[in-house]
Amino acid sequence: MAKPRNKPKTTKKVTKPRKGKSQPSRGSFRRLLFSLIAVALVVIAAYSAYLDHVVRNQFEGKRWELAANVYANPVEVYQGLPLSISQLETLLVDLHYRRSSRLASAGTYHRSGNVFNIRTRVFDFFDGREESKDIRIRINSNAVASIKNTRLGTDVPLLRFEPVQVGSFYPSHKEDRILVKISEVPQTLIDGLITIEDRDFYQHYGVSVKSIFRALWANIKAGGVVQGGSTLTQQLVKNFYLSSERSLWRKIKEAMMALILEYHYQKDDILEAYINEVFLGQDGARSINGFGMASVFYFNQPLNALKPHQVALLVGLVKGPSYYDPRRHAKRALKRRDLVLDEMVRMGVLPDQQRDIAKRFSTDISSFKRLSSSRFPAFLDLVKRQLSRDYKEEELSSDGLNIFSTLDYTLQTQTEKIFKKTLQSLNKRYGIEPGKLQGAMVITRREGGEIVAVIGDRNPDFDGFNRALDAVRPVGSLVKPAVYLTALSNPSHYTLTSLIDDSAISLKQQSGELWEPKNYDKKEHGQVPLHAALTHSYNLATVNLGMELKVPRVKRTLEELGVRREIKPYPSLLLGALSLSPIEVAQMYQTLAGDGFFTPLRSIQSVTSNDHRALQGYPLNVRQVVSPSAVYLLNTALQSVMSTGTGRSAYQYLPREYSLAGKTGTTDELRDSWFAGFSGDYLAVVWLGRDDNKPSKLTGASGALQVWSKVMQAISKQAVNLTQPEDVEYIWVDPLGRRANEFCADAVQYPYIKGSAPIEYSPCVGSVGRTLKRAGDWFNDFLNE
Amino acid sequence: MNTKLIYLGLLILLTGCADLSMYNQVPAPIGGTAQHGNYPAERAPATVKTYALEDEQTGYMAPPEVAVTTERPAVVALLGGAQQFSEQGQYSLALAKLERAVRISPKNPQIWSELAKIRLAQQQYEMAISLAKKSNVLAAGDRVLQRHNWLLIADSFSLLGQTNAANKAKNKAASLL
Repeated sequence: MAKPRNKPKTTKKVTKPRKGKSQPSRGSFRRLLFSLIAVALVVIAAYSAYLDHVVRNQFEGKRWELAANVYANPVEVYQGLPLSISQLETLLVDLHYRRSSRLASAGTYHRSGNVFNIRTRVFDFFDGREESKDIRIRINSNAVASIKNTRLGTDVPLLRFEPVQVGSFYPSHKEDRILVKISEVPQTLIDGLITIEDRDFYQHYGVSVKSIFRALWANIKAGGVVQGGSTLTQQLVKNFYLSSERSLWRKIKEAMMALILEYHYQKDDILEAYINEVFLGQDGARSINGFGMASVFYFNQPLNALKPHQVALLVGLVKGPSYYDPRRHAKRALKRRDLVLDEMVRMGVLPDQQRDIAKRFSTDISSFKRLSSSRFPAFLDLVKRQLSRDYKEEELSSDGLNIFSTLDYTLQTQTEKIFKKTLQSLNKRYGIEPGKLQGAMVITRREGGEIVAVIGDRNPDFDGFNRALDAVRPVGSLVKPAVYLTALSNPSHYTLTSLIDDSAISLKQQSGELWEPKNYDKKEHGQVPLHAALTHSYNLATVNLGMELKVPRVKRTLEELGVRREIKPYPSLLLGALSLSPIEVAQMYQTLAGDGFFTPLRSIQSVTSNDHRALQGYPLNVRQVVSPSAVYLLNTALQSVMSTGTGRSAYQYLPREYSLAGKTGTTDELRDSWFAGFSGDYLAVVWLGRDDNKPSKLTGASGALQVWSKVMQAISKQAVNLTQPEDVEYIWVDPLGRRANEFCADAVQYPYIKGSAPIEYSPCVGSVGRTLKRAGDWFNDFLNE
Repeated sequence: MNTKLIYLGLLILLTGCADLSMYNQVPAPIGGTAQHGNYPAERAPATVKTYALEDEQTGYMAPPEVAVTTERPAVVALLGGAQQFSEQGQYSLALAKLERAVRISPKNPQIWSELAKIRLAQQQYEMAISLAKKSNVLAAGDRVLQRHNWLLIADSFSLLGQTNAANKAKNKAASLL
């Protein structure tokens, strides 16, 4: 970079010619002219100084911009951790560890059988540095048996590997960029650009009159635009600093700035900036800037992997990214590419043979339009949103922050595979129009609310509409647990065995119309216990119960659970006339999975500066919002949903011992298929449906639950183990909810909040049983006196 | 007093006669698990139907992990690290260590109690109360820890100026002695 120097100002010294007063008009005219010129020069000089300032400021700012790096949750290994040999090997490969029998350097490993010898890399985390270590890990029965520090000969209680980098972005750019250094750019690209756009790039000073004329001549001769008259520097100025307005004044300004730019900076710096800045395409509202991003967008490959025929195509795009769009105007694009290749040969920068090979290729464009620099666009989107919520744009800018996210890399990649595959098979099985079935999934840790995986599209790689965060759809029966929780929070009136009325109800709406909900099986089931109504998702019982409780109270429960979107307190709310995004549903069910403690879902753990100073932690926070005892009761009912109710097909994929808890959700005409549920370690919400809102032919159970179960089968390792609260007791009851004992036929134990258990005895309990019970109670009191 | 003795005698008599397994029931399958549930590892693992799965799946899904009741060395190490940071007044770093511990043993009530302690040190009283309550929910049966939590809650309420709530919490702590 050139040292800043004061631009030499040229001022013309005005000398008045000594003439006689015989020609006064001419003298004064010349004076006027000279003074005008002087003023003009001063203005030009001042304006130049201003432009100089603009050019340097912006250039410095953008040039030295560092990407914010986003890391996944680091894998922490300890004795007993379920981890197979192949999983550990995959992790090392993902972290770019090399095989080396001597462990020659940090970042190497070597395996013999079930024993890994690893030399780890150093890494600076938010809470300190993890030093490089020589480690031996032994795996037995798919779990870590031991971890030893071979240098010190000690056991290692906890080993934290460096995290996988899952994305990077430039906070000051709304759209993703992939910035490249000039040293990483393929020579063919540089040669191509010079050839086609600016032959004298290395010789001129920013503007080249010679270029303009030569290009004009060449274009006339060729009968087409083979050369550009603007230099690369001028084009850079156009892209970088100025809007697309084309006028003579703009051209002049552009020329001045190009000269200033060349004055201050080296050719290579300017070329690098050009390569990273030039406009190369549009996809809807997203513009593609820079060859790094263009390479990924058109070819789904990094720039340094491109072959000459691909490079030439991109070079050809510079003149007109829409006109020569290879996806929409393939023939034109090919013609242009071939022209570029021929010119390069003529200039002697490309061997004949390579040109001939290159010309044999078609456009060779990837069918997949990758718009993101990250493999996990939906998750990165979430990170960006959470960051922008907490940081002002200026604070985030250009500083190369290290963002430690909650993403579980292995889990996300596994989930993506299963999600894609399952959607494809559902598409086929139910004869849904190909490509129309869409979906989203959010997975969190059951305790703590960290978001470990996000999928926003049936094609998880695709960076477009992020359905996990933005597809706001009616939730249907997913709302029901809130109704039942409202009831159970009132133990003096409602218990799990309270009988409620599953019979027809008709309500007059504000419009005057009657609302007459129906059960899914169109039947009425009469008096049913509360737990059964939820297990089998009876609509009539839910509405009857909800109306007894009063809809505003149910609304309040939803708000306590964490729903922040506006809720309309109409009876239809009771059956799910509430639209939420998958992540909002996850937030709501997180409170149930967390024993009644609200914990805000997070995608970021901590942020450090470029030089590894701790900047910001996002610590774990909880807030008790509903009675843990009521939630316990509800969760046992949600377990029944899975064991005997609408969610039971999950146990085709997972062992019953998992004691899963969850709820299916289906909306009118099967437009939305939902499932929300948790195991011991993870909570997951799945939505399936069509973007055009046509019926998807899937119920919550036949669609979303299938995806959920298959994913949980792959990732979950822990059963649901509800901690029984101190004020909850188990009581035997008969099918009508009367007190019984284990000798009664059809008697079952249910949990009750102390003091709410049924008092009325079942006839099956004889007088002896009752007396014994009374004696037992008295005995207990006697002891406690 | 006499009638009481008669009833007591009757009870003892009946105890001898009757099969008193009534009051030590493991709850029936429907209705969830009780406090000291049997963990699956004690029964034979169920085999799951094999479906056409990807290479990574073996078709047999192992039963879920047995919950570890003693603290893992990993957790002990992290708790120690958090303690060190806390003593140096580096509370956000202490929290980060404790969160790593939560990821490893999410149901361990002691970790949640430590989180509450740090929040108290940071003068984040409401957060401290919530975290201590969460610890209590997970600590069913552990009176010592519960008492400790209630005392922490009482302190936090006092510092918030809510003396009623503080007294209630102190009473709860006392009742656990």
